[in-house]
Amino acid sequence: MDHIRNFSIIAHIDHGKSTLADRMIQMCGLISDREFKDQLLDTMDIERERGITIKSQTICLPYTAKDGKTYALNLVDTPGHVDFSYEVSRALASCEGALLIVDAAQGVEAQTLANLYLAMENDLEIIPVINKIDLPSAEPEAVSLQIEEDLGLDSSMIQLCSAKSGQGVDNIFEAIINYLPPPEGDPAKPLQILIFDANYDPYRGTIVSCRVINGSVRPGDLIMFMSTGARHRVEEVGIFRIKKQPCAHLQAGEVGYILAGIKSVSDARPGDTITHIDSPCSAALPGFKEILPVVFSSLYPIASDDYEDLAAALDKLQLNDAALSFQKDSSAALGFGFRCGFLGLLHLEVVQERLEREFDISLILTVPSVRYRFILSDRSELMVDNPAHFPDPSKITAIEEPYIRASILIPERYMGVVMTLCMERRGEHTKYHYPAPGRIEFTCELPLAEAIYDFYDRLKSITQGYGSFDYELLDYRASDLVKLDILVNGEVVDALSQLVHRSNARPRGLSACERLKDEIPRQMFKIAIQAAIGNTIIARTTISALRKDVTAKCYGGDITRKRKLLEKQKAGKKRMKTVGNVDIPQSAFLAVLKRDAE
Amino acid sequence: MVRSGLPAGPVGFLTGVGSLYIHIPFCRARCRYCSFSSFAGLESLHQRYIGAVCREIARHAGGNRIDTLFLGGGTPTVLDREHLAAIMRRCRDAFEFDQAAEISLEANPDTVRADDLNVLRKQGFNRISLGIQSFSDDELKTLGRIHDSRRARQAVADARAAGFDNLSIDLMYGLPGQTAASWRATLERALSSEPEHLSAYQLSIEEGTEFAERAGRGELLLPDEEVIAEMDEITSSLTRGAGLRHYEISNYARPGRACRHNLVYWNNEPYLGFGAGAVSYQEGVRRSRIKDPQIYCYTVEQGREPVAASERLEPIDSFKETVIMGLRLVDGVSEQRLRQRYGLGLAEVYGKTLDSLRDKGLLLFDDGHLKLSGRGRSLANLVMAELV
Ligand SMILES: Nc1nc2c(ncn2[C@@H]2O[C@H](COP(=O)(O)OP(=O)(O)O)[C@@H](O)[C@H]2O)c(=O)[nH]1
Ligand code: SF4
Repeated sequence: MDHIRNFSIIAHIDHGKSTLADRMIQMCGLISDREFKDQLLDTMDIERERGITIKSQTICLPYTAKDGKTYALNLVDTPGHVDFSYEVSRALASCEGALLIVDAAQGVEAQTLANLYLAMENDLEIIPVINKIDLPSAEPEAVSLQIEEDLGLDSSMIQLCSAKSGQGVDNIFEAIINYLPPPEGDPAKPLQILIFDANYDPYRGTIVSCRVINGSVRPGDLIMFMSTGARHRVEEVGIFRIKKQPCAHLQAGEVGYILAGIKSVSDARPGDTITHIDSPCSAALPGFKEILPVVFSSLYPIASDDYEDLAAALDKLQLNDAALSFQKDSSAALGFGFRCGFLGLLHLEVVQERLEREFDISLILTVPSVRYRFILSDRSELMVDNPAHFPDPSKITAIEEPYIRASILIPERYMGVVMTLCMERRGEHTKYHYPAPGRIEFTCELPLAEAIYDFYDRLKSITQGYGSFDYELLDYRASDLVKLDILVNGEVVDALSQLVHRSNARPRGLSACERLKDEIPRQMFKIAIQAAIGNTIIARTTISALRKDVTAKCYGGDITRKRKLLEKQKAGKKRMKTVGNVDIPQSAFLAVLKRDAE
Repeated sequence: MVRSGLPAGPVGFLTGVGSLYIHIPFCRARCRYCSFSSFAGLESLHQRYIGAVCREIARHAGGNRIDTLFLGGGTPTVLDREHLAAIMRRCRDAFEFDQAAEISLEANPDTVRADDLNVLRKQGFNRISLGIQSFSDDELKTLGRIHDSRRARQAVADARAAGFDNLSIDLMYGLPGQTAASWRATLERALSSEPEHLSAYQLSIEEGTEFAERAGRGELLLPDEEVIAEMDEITSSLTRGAGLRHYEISNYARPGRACRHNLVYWNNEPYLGFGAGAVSYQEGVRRSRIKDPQIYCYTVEQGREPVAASERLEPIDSFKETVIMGLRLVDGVSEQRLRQRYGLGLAEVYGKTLDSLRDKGLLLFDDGHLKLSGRGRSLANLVMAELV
């Protein structure tokens, strides 16, 4: 086991985690430089574009150290966004150590801290890495000081590197070997395997990414998933190179994969323990949690014929995304669709983009909602995540909504604007401290509903990109909520209804009306847009009738172009939903999700 | 007004061509709103271009008797009158012209002198379309036109003196800074010369033009909708008062003076086009020629067809195109002619769509013709987008 090191790379977004991982893979000679680009960069466009890893990609790096010995370095990748902090924690639980990357120009950010806390909870040895030292704006000394003083890490372990040029990366390899402990565990003990990820392969079923804590597993073994009791026969075990590489067995200390005819990734949950059926371990590994969706939205296909395709696409996505939940939903305005649950807004956006891009389905999403708790007059409790199911107001005794603790790291000068933002979002128990001169860590308790809107975007914009944000769920608290309806020409568009705090209803209603006014193209007749609570109209706008839309000139040479323009106009209309007699474009539904810039 | 039927081909396409279009892609200077296929500053190419066009014409010699010819641009009259005469001669060599053929020339007031017009009239041009656009010097300047209102009035007088008794004036409205009063003044001025034909185009901001750029920067102050509506009112009442009949979205004419050449387009009938960027529509195939005059010349000189793109429509698509183009005409499309040409009726093709447009008051059926209502004409694009 001495020749094994299991580690993760953790970092604030954009500090260079993926670049460093790619560089290390390349430097181990697993792949030629020429293959490098094609091979690594083509997975999951959306994540690449957004610089976010959602599915982990673990890899076993062969490394011959300066001492002449050969090591197996398992780089356990972690998802890189606040929505996925549980997955991150399970990945970290599979490691003995972590590289904590800090951008030499940006310094410590909120996710640096959040990830560090997660690593510490898992007792990991930490090697601080200052990346991007090639940047002219790099300040490695200042960042070193931050790491030592603010994070309390041992400055003698700090590695300086440029993941981009490769400078200093060789020292990182040596540091991994010298500073990180080899795994412990006993191959002779009963089997205990920690699942940290699962990926779906259409030919092989679920590929379980795991760390063997104790014992050993080989093909043919009968295993059991302790959280569900599900039983399987192991078909193959192996390690991750660029591709999967089968081996005879996996044993204590090793990281690898298991194939066991598991149909769906939701049967292999991160944090669950696998053991042998006939000689089970005495207890499951600690830390397992059910992942529960916290943000809900209904997805409707724009073309109602796409409903079946949407159902099939969601089934497919769910194979590889255990956190995605969905069930049938229907709307008077939009027809049949699905109510989906997500880990957060980013998760929602990724799912939406994949459905549109990979499955070519145009969607309308309803306003994202959290799950509210209603206490009814008969003392019963009702959890509602869909405004359409809002109970009769006369029967409600109390409403509670989930709260989070948001932690925000900013340069001191943005204190005022951030404070205002949090107040606007109904923040409570605001606290702050100075982790470093000139920097503030600001924490406050916010309704989750306020954070799932454009909180992060707003934060970024008011702090000119310097603000960073992380959150954890706290509890449910009493709240004064009302259902805000939107009416178009007198008809309630149920898909636009939302639950909002009473104090926000008017501004939210007005902003929804204004946005719809901007997005709905003028039509033959005047369109009234109203926001209402029950029967009370609280905001309204109108879209005046279109008076003229005609091409003045059209002669012989223009006919083809004219026809194509008309065809485009027609196709555009097909992409709209007709509510009553008003054509509403997809963009209008999306626009309602956004808040005003001010 | 509708030309008597040409024989219908087996798939609903009319065979036999009675119309020619010749494109001259040159202008003195580019107007600020213009998105037409035209180039300024290519004087050195004129001679060569005439050669190429004549060669192309000669290659397509023969066939039907020609009923209409239209020499358009660009600004055909930037060419020397000898050049224009040469093209005309080549056409007469290549094709047999009907006695009563309509032979139109597009002209810019600043590019024609009295003696040019005399010569051109003698060469056989019997209809002239003057691109005047406005009688307000400020507006002309805003548009980037090279002439002023004095030249415009002169050109009308010269054309009349040269014997053009079929004269059309092109005007534009909805111009930056234009008021209803100034449009009225321009229109009155134009009508006072008793033109046989008038085109009144609402300015549209086309991509890639200087106007589009300015509009993008918010620097173009266009009249608002109410003003445009008022201008439309003015156009309608003044033209009516002058004895001109509204016959197409932007066109007005004395009885019998509708532009026969353009009616070919609106009836979606075949025609031959020559010159850079010109389009031909023959036997159901639309071919557009290379737009770049230099490449066009080179290709023709190499003895090759200068075709850049061609499309053949399925009968059903051609049917719809015929309807859409025909709806531009105030008289609309004749159901009977559609059936003769395509063997299909409107109801079979459009079903409920037609009823719903009718219920909305945008379309009407009248005397066997499908037409746009007044409201429908203002919203023609909405209607056509349903019928395409
Ligand atoms: N100049 C410089 N840029 C780097 C370096 N490492 C990463 N980057 C750039 O920083 C950005 C974010 O890097 P990435 O690896 O995607 O960050 P991640 O979000 O932490 O995975 C990318 O544009 C990289 O090219 C470095 O050492 N030097
Ligand atoms: S004269 Fe006509 S074709 Fe030439 S630039 Fe002006 S508008 Fe365009």
